[in-house]
Amino acid sequence: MSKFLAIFLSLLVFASLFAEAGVYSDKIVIGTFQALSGPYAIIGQEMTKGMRAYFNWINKRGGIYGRKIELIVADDQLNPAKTVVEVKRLVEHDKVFAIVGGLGTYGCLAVMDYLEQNKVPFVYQGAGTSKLVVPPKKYIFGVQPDYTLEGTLIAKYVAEIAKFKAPAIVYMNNDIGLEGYAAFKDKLGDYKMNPVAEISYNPADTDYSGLVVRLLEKNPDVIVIYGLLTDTVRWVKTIRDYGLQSKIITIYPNADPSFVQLAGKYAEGVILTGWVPLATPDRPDFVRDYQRAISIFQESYPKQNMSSYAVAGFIAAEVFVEGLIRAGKNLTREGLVKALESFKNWDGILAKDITWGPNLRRGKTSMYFMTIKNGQFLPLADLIRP
Amino acid sequence: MINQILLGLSNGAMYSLVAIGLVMMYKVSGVMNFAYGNMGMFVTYLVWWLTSVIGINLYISIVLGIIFAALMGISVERFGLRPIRHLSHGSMLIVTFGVLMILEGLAVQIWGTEYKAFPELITGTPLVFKGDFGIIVLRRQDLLVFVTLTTISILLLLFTKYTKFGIAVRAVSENEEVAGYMGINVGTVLSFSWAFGVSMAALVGFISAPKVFVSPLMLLFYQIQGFTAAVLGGFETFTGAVFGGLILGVLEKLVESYISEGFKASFSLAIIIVVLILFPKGLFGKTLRRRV
Repeated sequence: MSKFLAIFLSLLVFASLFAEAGVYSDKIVIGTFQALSGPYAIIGQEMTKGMRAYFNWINKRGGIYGRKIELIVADDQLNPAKTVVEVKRLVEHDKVFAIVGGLGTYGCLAVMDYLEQNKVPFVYQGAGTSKLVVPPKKYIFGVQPDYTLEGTLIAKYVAEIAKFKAPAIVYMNNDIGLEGYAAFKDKLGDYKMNPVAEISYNPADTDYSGLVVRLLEKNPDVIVIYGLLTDTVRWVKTIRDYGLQSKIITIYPNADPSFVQLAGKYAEGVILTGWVPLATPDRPDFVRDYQRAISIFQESYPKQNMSSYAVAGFIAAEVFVEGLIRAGKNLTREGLVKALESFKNWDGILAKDITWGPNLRRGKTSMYFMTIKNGQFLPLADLIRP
Repeated sequence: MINQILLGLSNGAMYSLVAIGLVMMYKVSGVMNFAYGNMGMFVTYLVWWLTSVIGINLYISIVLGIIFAALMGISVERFGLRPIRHLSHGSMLIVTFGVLMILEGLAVQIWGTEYKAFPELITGTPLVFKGDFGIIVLRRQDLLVFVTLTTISILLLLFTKYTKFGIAVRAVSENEEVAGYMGINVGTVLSFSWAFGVSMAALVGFISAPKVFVSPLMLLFYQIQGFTAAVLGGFETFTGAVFGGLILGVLEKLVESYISEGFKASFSLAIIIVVLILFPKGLFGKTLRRRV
């Protein structure tokens, strides 16, 4: 009897040695970290909704190879100190298979090395720093464009496509602003151009009138603003109040209806970058995709609208599920990494043009430009690559 | 240079308005009100709600907001601070911290964390002067702030010098006990100081809201700058509050344009430390002289 027990136990130990963490016969357990409370809760809650809606939709249809997806959401309040604790708990206690769609640049950076060393795949970061994907790390897969890519593409748009002659750049004095500024200036150099004015500012400041005078002196034909929602709106207002008629270009985090709502008439004519296609009448294929996404979202959240943060969560879930499908029935972390590396210009419902490879972890290498007309976003140029 | 000074004066005038309110409450009740910014924030939310959700005219809403602010100031002082007035100074400070957290929590619960757009009080293109001196730009918003500050400063001066109640306010701030013996109703003066202080916070909220947007932390920056201005000018006098704010504003702009934008806050604060080493009571503070 004891012999049988010993064999049984050793078989169990043997099996557990080779079984992948978080993968069970009937489910796959994954984790994410989001700001569900605190001042950024509006972003975290929406992003979580987007992920949940997509996973619910998949689960209702039987899951992936018979396994349902179970998502554990850890609330880190967008505080990197909490992110570290929560992610360790997810990996070591909850034994998650992967982390999907973590929110916040500093939180993502804080757990990047830990996840890489523990060989836990981390798919989609709600962050824009290139440090996550350059140099590439085996287990970290970025989707959102980073600020280096964006800066390069804005410079290309300014110099080559729209053919502006005297660009100026205004950037936040932090990681986001500095990264975008460096990339923009570097790429402009390829066209033998230099910004006519370079202005850094503190995003916590409430008044930019002293700095805008420096723009007045140079009278640029286009001003690139590397700022986030409220300070960008403040800049646009100040620039227009001072009578400058220059075109204004700003970055993709501002491409949200709340930007139009806060800026009001000042938003008119502002050019923004984007990476999620706009569902406009001239692109019936995008309209169809968008309506499909909304119907999936409303299966879980009836009558609610999808914010741009929910779209981000939706895309995170979408690319991860495609990875699971490609990884096959015998799911392992190594298998998922291989599967994700096989993405080549992959289009999902909302995720478009995602590419990874053995040494390529930057999911998006293209963006497009749009403008605001009568309070609506309108596309300006198709996908642009560096 | 002229432009930078003008812009500095405009920013500084906002700091002065904050400082006047803080100094009034501090002078009379002896408490540094940490909830100052959040009280202004809460009233601004209320006015935003009245105009944007209920649809009441902006100026009527502002008047209602000021009345609410005064009532809020009176109630916090009457029911939160006065009962513990003679216990300890520390516990009164804790009460203001409590109010700070309650108001922030309430605002988040009621209105959420999304930024709200607040209508401009004054609109129109800025006045631009071009000449040998370069470009000078004067925004209408700057004019509004200057006019508000000047009006309030003059009224405050007349009020404290020539009205009976104003003299009573000064008397209570000099010596509460003796003022009481003289037949001055100390309670009324205390209530007035808080009503006035919180109304000033609300006013700063209305003026700055189109620029900083209505959000739970909207007045944090102004509260810190106003406090710094009051320390620089001297916490005991209104003249100090007004000029402390203006000087701080100009100092910031000059550092920003001639040294470095990044050093603005640290450099201005360093200068203030030096000033305080030389004038411990602030630039306009009165040194206490006692007869033997």
